[in-house]
Amino acid sequence: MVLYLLAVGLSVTLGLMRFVNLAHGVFAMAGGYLTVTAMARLGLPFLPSVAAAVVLVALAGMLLERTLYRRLYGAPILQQVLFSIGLIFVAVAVARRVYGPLAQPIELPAWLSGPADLGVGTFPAYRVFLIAVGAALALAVWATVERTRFGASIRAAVDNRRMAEAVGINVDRVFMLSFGLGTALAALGGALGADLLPIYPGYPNDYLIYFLIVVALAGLGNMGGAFFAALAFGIVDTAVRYALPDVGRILVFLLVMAVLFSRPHGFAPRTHA
Amino acid sequence: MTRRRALDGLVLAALAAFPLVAPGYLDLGARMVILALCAMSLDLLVGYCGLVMLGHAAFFGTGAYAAGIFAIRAWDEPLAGLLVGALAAALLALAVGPVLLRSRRLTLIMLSLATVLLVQEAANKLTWLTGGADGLQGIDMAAVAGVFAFDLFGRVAYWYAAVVLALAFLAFWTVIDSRFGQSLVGIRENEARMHAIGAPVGARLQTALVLSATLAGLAGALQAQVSEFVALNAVSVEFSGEILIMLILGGAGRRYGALLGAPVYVFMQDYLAREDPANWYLWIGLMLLAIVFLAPGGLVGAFGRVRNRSDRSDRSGRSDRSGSDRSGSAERSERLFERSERPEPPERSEPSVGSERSTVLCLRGVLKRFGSLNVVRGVSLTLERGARRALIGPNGAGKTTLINLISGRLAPDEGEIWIEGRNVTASSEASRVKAGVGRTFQITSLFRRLTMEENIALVVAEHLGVAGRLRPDRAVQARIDARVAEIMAILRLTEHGGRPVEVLPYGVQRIGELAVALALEPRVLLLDEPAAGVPRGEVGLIFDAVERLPSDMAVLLIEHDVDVVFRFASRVTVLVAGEIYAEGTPQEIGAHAGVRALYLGEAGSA
Repeated sequence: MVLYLLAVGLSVTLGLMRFVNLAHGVFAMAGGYLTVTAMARLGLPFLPSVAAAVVLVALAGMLLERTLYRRLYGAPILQQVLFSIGLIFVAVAVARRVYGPLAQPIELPAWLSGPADLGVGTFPAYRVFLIAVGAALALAVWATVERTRFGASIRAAVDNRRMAEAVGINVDRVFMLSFGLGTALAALGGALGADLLPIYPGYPNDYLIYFLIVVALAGLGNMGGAFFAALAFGIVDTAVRYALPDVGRILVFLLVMAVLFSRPHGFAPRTHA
Repeated sequence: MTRRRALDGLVLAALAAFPLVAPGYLDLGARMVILALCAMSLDLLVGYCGLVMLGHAAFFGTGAYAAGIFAIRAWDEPLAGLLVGALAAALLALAVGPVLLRSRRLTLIMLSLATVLLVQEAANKLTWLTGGADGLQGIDMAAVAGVFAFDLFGRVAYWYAAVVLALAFLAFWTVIDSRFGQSLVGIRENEARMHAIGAPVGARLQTALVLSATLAGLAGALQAQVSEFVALNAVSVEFSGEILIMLILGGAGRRYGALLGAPVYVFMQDYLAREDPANWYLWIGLMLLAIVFLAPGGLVGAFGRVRNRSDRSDRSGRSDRSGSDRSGSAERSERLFERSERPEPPERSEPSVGSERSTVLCLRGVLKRFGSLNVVRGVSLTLERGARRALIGPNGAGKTTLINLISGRLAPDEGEIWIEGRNVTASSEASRVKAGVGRTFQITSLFRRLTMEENIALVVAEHLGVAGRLRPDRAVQARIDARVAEIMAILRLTEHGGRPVEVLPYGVQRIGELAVALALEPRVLLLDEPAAGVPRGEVGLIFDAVERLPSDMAVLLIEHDVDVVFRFASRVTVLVAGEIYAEGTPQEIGAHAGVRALYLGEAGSA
């Protein structure tokens, strides 16, 4: 589910905005670090810390979008890839500098660290919380993109920038906001998921493959797909690793390859053949 | 060519001079050489195929492990080890290629990353074979070819690696300069069009991947032998990224890019690791950002830009403006003259002798539905050898759909399509190209950054079946050049041959579209509004070109301009609402009351 939280943000920048942003994990990591800092240094409780981190990262994301990302819209994919690798390297170096190489533990509040009784059984409250937030976000993001004027503007702007401008959509602003949305979702995922996917300097590199798998399986820009792909991948990944700890990782990757071999466009409904 | 040879010599000299200049740094030198080889192998994919991958460490690492394990368990002869390493990497490429190459962009990046992680995980888990996380130790190499034993100073190691690099460089450029290399560039520039001219794109890319992996495996094997150790991080995502960075730093798709990028990168890494080890990644990241924004062509590109600025500006001044303008207008007036002298539409009758055998294209009751709408309703049509047929009709009559049905882009719901006596109703677009159907597109789809000559040559090579050749061959190239020259002469493109298509006037690009179709030597050529979107002044050029098409080729032309149609066609078919409304000679159609009403009506409402 954390994967979903992370991947849905990537799906916004990558799928909707068509920007190959491998540096997505950077924003997630930043969200995690800021949350930890807010809790440890400023003594804020968990949720306000998360909220503050999300807002800060989103602002930083929009700033980066204004200054750097926007120059690469429509650029060859190689440039976008290199740019985001460069960003990853810088972020990793900064994170190591500021926080050191070790993972930052996150102190969960009491109401999340205990068990939760759902009537049908007890589950760890933290995970229940993640799943609930994930499902709520899935709905919210889907509704935003598919059902609101803003979502329509994003899609229009990506589809035909000049036409969108001609009918009075402020494309620059739309892109900035949707990039902000993508980074905010990343930060939220990083912050909330910090207990399951520990925050450490290697974060953007090591989890990159998982975001990419989810987005590729879902099909680009397919919000609903990202939800189910993350869910399916998470379940299969956990199950296979639990059952066959030695070769689990290999099997999972082979499985992903096999799926993409038979369906190169992921699970997205094919819009154009 | 001579300058290229001189620069190659310079590179070799630099390789040879390194041990003399920096005898204390031979380890570093060997590392530079090996990584240059690895970056060069990646260039085949990134620079020439336009495939962005982050998985090259998988091939490098596979080569390294294979060579290391081979040396420990089987035979410690280095040259044999090189072969084993290269072979292992090639096999990996053969296995993962079909999966990877089905996807592009993001999914490709993800899958190539997954390949690295797979190999890494395998190396990590097979501890008994690979040493797991500690790396593969205990490699002890024999002397190279039984003569040159590795010494403590790394002298033999350096020379060994340098010789391999030099040979690989030559091999690499043989491939790039071959027709195969050109066809990879074609795929990079316009993959869809390569499919449309019948090129086996998947197979080409697979070959490129295997070749690239072979070279990477060679580099990995060298690394294992020279350092007598394979670290687990030889197969890591980070290392994949580093290889890509080296290549980009030097310049992707450029002759000396990898050769320059890898040493500079290694040097910087070595220097920064000593001076400022904590911030190495910060610097490399910042450097990467700088490259992306300031010097997309890498170091080689940056040098080239400074040097080229002067000579490009005077070249364009000469051939570009003055050249094409003057000769263009001269030619135009000459052609006007020619036209006025020409007799009225020649009575070009479609050859009727042996009409059964000379039928090239035959449609029988072809019907196409889009949903509940019948766009083409039972059209029957026959074209003979050398036919000049125009297809006219109001917008939405189904003209383009009909062309798409003939070329195989769409499949008919009913009816049959025969080409040269073969029923091709069910065959694919590519096999219809082979059967002799050529077409142009309403929207120009050329290899924009290649020159007109290169565009036509790509298609000619594909048509002659030599586009997959891995080595340049003078005789083959001469045949291609002759055919290209012939086509350009027919269509009067010769003066535009040497310039990238994207800088040519749109009208000339449209003729290029025609040339590409002609290069496939079709029996039937389908022209879908060849002058669409062309400025008025250039329209004449296009129809002059159309009139010079070989006289035994059957041509079906869609065109709105009635004057053009009447001048060009010996027969005209009028399509209205998906049905043939009238058919006859231009005179008959011109006198046809219904057609006149239709056109006058249309003109009146417009």
